[in-house]
Amino acid sequence: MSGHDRFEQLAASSLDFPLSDAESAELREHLARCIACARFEAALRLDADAAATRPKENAPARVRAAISAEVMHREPWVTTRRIGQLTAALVVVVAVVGGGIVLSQRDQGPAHLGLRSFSPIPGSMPLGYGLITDVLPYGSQLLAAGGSQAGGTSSGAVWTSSDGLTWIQASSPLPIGGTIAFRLATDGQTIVALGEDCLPTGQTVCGISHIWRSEDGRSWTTVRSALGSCCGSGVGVGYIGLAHGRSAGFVLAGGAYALPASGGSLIGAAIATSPDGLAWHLASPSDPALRLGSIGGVVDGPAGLVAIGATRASPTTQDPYPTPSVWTSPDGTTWTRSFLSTASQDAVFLNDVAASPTLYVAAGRDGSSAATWVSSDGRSWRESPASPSLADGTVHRVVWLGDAFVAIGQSRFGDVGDGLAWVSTDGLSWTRLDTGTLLTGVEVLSVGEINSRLVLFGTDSNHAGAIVGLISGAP
Amino acid sequence: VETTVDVERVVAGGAREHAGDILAVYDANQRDLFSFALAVTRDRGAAEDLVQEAFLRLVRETRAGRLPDQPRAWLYRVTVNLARTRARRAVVADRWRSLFRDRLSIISAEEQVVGREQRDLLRRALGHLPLDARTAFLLASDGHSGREIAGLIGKSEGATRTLLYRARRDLRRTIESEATR
Repeated sequence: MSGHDRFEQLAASSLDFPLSDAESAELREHLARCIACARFEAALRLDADAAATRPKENAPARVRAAISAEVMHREPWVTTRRIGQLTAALVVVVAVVGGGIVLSQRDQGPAHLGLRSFSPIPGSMPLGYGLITDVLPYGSQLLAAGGSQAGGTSSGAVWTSSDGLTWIQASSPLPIGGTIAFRLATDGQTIVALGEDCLPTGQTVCGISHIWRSEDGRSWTTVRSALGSCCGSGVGVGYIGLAHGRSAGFVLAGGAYALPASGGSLIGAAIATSPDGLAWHLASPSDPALRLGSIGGVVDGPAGLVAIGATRASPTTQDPYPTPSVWTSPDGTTWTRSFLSTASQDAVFLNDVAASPTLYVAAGRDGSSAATWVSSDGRSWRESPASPSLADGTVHRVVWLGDAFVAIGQSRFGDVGDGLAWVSTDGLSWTRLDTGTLLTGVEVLSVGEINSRLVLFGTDSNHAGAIVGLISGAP
Repeated sequence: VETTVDVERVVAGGAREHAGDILAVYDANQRDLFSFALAVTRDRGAAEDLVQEAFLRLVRETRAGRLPDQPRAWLYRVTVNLARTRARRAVVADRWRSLFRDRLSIISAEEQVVGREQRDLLRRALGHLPLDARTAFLLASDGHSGREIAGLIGKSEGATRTLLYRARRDLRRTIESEATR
């Protein structure tokens, strides 16, 4: 052990054990003349403080319920999560034997989607462990993007299906291993996939975006791994939203951050446009309309492009409740920011936005309830009225499926909760889809339509993150 | 803060008659214990199972007339042991799921907070530590002294001192390495 190693050990030990007077004096004397060791000692204290003040959270209420039941009734113990698994298994058996589950006879949106009944997609478990985070109609097929495990390593993946029941993984995984793809968009011919990677490539860090391109959904090429970098060295971009439309072609939207080595602070909203998915133009996140913003979703609609997200008070503010914000643009080049007006005294989060031919619908959470906002021009918004179907939830995604909006999210925001899905024809009045226990403990991540059937994908916390799929209509 | 429970009364009456005492122990400790288990396992479902199992064992101990003098320390010790057992039978799917959950955090706008990178550095660096080192570091973060940690993880004070030094050193090196990439 070198002399410095000994003092590093003393500095570390002083955090957990009382040092002797001699050791304390020796350490103080060394730190006074050794800058490197003094920095190390200070960094250890910062690490300890950061760990000690890390956010803590309550155990789910069902744990207390299980313990209370055990204390009161002395019944043989079965965990609540195991009960959930048994229930889910039972439901699958019923589905197989009965050929599907008819869960409700009440109105659940457009009749042709068959939303009154849902069945598990038979092949969803063999899809493996991972996530399907977006689905996209492409020709007569439905594409699904996400990530899967193969041979013990992870990689971004794309699946295709012609009926929503049978899914085939693209012949080769996306070109960069250890990557997840989480958004898809197409102009009818070219498909662009947005994803991100935690592995370092060049100067990038975890969360930096990757873009892939395909002309058939099966063969994919990396457009530019370094697309996430912008605006000079020390800046990284994390895109979250991806859309295509007439106004600007393909559009990526997210946030630009100084890399950790440069301070890690937020710079502003990042928006990139491309006519073909190959050449991209990035608007400056320092532009006054984008500065200190971060975007969660973008869509092209009746009045041009609309992006939703939040604006912070300052680059370094640890503000848990930034101001909900909306950006509009006629062409993807010039952007105007407005702030969502809400009467609510609770925290409001905008997570996604979709558009019909006449209407924009933004979705997220208002206080403890899922909430949506509608607008015909992207500037003036009206919030959905409070309703039991939206209570105690949050919306992560919203999509337009030709004659109805479908939103997906979860109960008990901040916890795993159960998957939820809603349908609405006007973006304001929402009916919660009755999926029985099929989404219990499932995080619903993506939704799409094929052959007039609604397809939902999620990840099952009761089965170690296995992919779960549901399809509406008669089995 | 150690929760005080009237041990004699609970043992004499059995668990059912004093469910309120057991649940008081739960209410006073579940938040710290669940967060600790979550940080150790990096898996929400596993953390939930660990905490539930630890408290159910406490109920069984109470029924058997063996309610521990210091329920909080006892619960930490059981949770540490359960985490070790789980780690030995951990499957690839569990690791994969945790990995994906980390990455998926970018999807929700609610997760977009300034300084996320710095907190992620610590969280990811913790993931690189061996289970024993991570456990010891998190116990220290939850306010346990070195001597208490030694008792909880079943090692000598000397071995625990070395373990914690290496944990803190390796954590710092990983953070610095990732921050300068």
